[in-house]
Amino acid sequence: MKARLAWIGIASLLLAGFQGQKIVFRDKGGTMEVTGFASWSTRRLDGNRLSFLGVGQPVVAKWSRQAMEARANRIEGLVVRQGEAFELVSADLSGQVRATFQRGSAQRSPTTLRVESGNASYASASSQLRLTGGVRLTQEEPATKQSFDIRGQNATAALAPVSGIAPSEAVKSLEVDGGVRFRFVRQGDKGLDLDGTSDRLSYDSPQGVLVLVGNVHLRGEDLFYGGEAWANKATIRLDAAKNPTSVELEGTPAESAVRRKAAAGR
Amino acid sequence: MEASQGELARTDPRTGRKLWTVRWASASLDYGSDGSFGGTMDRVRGALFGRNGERTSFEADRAEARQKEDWLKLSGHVRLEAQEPQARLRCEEVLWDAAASTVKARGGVVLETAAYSVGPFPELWATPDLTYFSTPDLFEAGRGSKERWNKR
Repeated sequence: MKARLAWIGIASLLLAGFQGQKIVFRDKGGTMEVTGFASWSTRRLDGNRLSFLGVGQPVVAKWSRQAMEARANRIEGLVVRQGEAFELVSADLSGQVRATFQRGSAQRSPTTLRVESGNASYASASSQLRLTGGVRLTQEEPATKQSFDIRGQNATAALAPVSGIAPSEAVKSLEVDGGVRFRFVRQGDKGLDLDGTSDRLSYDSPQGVLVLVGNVHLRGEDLFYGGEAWANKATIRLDAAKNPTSVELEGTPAESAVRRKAAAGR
Repeated sequence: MEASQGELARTDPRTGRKLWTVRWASASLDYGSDGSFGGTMDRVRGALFGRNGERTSFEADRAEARQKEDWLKLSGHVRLEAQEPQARLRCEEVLWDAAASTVKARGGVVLETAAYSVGPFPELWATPDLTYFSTPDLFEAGRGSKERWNKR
């Protein structure tokens, strides 16, 4: 009887141990890790490719080589084997999506892009990220003390490649629509604070162009001037350091009010 | 009937397809007049055969089979090993549902290949070549019965 009780005790401990252990998917290279799932499936497609589906509250997936971390209630993806590591090829995420992308050297204040949305899809070949269902994108660029915070209903972003050396923007281009609210901030000597609303926003980093369309309201401040503008369309051109070099307003009504800040008159 | 070392194979009587084979160190078996058999076997090794020709070898502390039923139950330090592609599954119990061609594993289930590892799951179902596996709630329709193993 004693022996039987002992076995029941050991079995209970083992069962409790299994139940308490975190379930982890991990590649041999230690570059891909998925946790937080209650339900899971994996299919080997061929010698190098694997599809997976995780459902949890939330599922947390990391790809360190791609400097990417994602959280969502459901993540379905395709990965490809590169030696001992798995790299993400594509993924569909749904339910309280939170993702982080880093660009630049991890040792030298990398640029970080954070996204929040209802649903998201990512394709690594095109580095394209599609977000729907209420989106928010924030980018922090410590090297240049610049940041942006953009909200809307849907967004499409082309991400910069993972370089690994020089800090750079994480977003190459961006399209946002549906009740867009935005704020661009640069701290320091050449401070800038630009915020506003529009129906649509498109941003092309290599071209240095920010275009706002539909019910545009712009409010900006630098060290010397502050002002507001209303228009149907605004095209803001930026130099390499992201300084606005021109603001073109179109449509009716297009009006602006510029005031010289007190500090500038001294 | 008590038996020392031995080996048996179960085939599907309708198709003649081999479903599983098992070798044991000791066993207690019952044989039917039609040649069917059931019982318990200790310190077992063998192979599971999928309906698409997959073959997976196994070893476990114990095995249990019933006359006229196609399943094989393995328990205690169960290890499954698929060869092509290579993959290993270890757990506390496995029910080989030969009719559904599905491995139903329970208890600290860990699956490992040369490229990755995943687990430990309380319960995991898999195809016999271990190239597709999932928790029971996501197991693909058409891969076999979605009935929970513990209802059997």
